Amino acid sequence: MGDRKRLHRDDPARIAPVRNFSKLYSRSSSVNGAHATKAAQPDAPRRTTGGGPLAEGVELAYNVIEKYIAEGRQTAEGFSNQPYATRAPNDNLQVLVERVLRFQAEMLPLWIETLATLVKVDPAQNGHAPSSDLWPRSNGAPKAETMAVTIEVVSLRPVQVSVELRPNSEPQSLVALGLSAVDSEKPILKDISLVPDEIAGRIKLRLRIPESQPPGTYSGVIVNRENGETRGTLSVRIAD
Amino acid sequence: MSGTTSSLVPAILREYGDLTRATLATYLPSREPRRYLYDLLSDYPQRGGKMMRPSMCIAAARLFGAQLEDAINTAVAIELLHNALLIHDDIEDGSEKRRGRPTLHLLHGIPLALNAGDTLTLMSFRPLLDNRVRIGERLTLRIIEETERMARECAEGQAMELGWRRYNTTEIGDADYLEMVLKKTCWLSTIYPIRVGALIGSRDSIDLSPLLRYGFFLGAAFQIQDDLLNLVGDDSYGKEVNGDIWEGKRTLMLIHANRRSTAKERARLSEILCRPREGRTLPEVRWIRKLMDKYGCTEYGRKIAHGLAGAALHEYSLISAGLPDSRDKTFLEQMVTWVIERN
Repeated sequence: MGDRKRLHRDDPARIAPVRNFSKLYSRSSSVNGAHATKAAQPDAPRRTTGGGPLAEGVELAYNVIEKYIAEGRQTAEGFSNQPYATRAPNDNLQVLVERVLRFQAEMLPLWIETLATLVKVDPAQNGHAPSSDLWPRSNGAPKAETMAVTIEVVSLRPVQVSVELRPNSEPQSLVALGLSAVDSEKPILKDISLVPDEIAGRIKLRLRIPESQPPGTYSGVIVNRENGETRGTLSVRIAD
Repeated sequence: MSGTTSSLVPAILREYGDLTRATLATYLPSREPRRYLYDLLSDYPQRGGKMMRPSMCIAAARLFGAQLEDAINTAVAIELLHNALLIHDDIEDGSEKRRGRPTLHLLHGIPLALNAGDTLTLMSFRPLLDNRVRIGERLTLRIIEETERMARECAEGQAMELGWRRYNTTEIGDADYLEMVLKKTCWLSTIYPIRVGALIGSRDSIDLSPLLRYGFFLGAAFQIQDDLLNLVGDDSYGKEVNGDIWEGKRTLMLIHANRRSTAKERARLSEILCRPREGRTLPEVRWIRKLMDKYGCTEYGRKIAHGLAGAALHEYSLISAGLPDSRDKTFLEQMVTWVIERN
């Protein structure tokens, strides 16, 4: 062996299982388009070293709620898988037919949503509802005016789009923030534009889905770029 | 986030609370039989209350872009249902005081109080149905679905707690307690108001799971603080001090005391808790209270409540990260500090 220096690996940063609540913080993500970056910031909760009732209590609470959410998801998956679980598709044609049917089923809500924005709604007061002059309207308008939306989607896969715009939104000031999925690992959907079509008197929503975008539901808000006010929401579901 | 609660939380609770009360009054009939029914329905709502639940619903709706009028009916339904469950809870727990006055069943007897609670529960559906005109059929149905889920979760949580008492279950851990609180308290107090508010504001276009976490941590911190106040409350506390011990409620502090006790103490504790409320004596209640002091149970509960509040703030920072600044956004953040600082 002579004078050869022995190779020595650095000591591992961790020598015991991580059973700390802080690792769970990374599971959460924003619901409104922004990713969960807080965990990496200095003011985010850090891994505790001393334990004690506070840390143990929080860890326990995270365990309880995550188990609860997981059980809920499992139950929901059980329900949503039912129509497809009746027969296993065993040939390509069958798969194709099912995908077409599913695509149509998914497109139907899109058209319903789109048409809904075309309808002029006059929110009448019901007998029990308080009179509207109890509260100042945020936009000061006495009557709601809705706007028609044309949706253009560039995608290789079936996509369902839901868009909700508040009445009296100014088309030229609208901007859609990035759409994010619940799973914060999935990239934000950014290629979205809202363009006023003044000739047709409507707004055009253009959306391009990158080929590499993982399937799932992505959602975010539409805001007025002048004042940051939320003017609507946008949700996109990308099929497998 | 400021370290202490500003005046914003009380101001918004007052503002949204007053509006909710005013609308709620329009749903309470003033016809006969007043003495046996309708006077009873308006009793608890007229006693005040923090109006935390309807205020959170309205604030969440506005945070996600709705107008106040879009959420007011749902806020009213929440408050009606909350008062209905208070009547039933008071009967089930054998409580004597509610908001500083005798409970409804002590004033009118259990049958009339029970009937009033049932009526309030059913009446809470009217404002939810009236939502159709303002926010449309689809959202109305989604809110009713959420209401059905909340009611089921609440019933399960209440059954867990009542069952533990009925069968004198003492082998309960903190995780069991948190699960019970998630269902019994959090769903109606925080999770449901925030979720339906967000549903209204976003027109049902966002994932509601992150709100579940925030609502759970906030609601659990609220419940532990409530249980702490029951042990250390002063004259301003509207309920009976040590009432939870009298009722044998499995609070985090009682669970901790049981866990830390010696075998002899544990046996005595179990023997006292297995009796109904009227079978317990004042010296026994005082002994349990001293046992809690001996094992630092209030300090333990306070630490857990503060930890959960921290977790709630963290989850809220994720939820609200991309939303524009507003009073409602700050209110929902400061609610976290408010629930653990209130007395």
